[in-house]
Amino acid sequence: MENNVYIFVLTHGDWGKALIDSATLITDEIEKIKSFSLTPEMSFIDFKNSIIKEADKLVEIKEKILFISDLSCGSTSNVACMLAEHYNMDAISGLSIDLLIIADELRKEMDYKVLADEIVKKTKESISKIDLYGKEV
Amino acid sequence: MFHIKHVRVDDRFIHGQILIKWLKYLNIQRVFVIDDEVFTDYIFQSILKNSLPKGVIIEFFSMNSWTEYLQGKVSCEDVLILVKDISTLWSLFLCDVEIEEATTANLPYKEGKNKLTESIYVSDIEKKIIISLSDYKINLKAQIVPNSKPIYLKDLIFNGE
Repeated sequence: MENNVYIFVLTHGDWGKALIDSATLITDEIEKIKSFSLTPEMSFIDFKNSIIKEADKLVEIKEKILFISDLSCGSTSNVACMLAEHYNMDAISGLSIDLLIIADELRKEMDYKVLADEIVKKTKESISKIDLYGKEV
Repeated sequence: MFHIKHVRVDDRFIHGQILIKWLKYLNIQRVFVIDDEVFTDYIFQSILKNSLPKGVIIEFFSMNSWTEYLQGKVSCEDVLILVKDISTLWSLFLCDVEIEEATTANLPYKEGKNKLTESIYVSDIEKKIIISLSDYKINLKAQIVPNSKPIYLKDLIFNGE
């Protein structure tokens, strides 16, 4: 399936950009992805508007966007939720390298309608306690 | 009547710092958001409500509905009031409510604002409000989380002059 879903990563500070770079150590270059950093000197509205500016361009050419934020119930997630509502698209909170790689893979395989739920499900499965010998418990 | 335990100026309203640090520190179960825009933004209200821990109640007011609320004989516990900016804090003060403590998150740059620190920018009007509030013993301090060192904005203003 052609990758027709853009991923917008919303993070506190710049770690989203660093995470994307790190993920490419494991997978191929990740296309169709944009990172937005909420920094201390930014206002909530400026952060939201900076994303809207990019999202509007993509929505105009009928691209789908999946918003992925870092901190559940944080400003990044609040904005992600508002934008998902505004564009009638989906948002996920709880960004990690696992989630990002899973999202990149699944968006190539799945219909947008089920994508967010599947990403959440697979990412939850990927979290586990590991024992002294590196095995999953 | 209720007891305003804390007023916080934060244009992000309910978010990580509030949820993880301030609510716990203040031991608060009720939050008031006083903002004319948020009062009519039901989507944002829903997002803020859903982000609160179970048992914490949030109520939304415009300045008008707030002044009406003050006329009522409603009793409730300690509250945290969240406002977007210093001018709303001033409006709150003018409603003749007792404000014991007021903090602010970062105040980002906007056109017309002057730098007090790397993350605190205020307009000339806001400076006057901060000084006026301090005359009534309401010393607005910039404090990201409860255990970070507070920075009294009045001191920054006087030191900068």
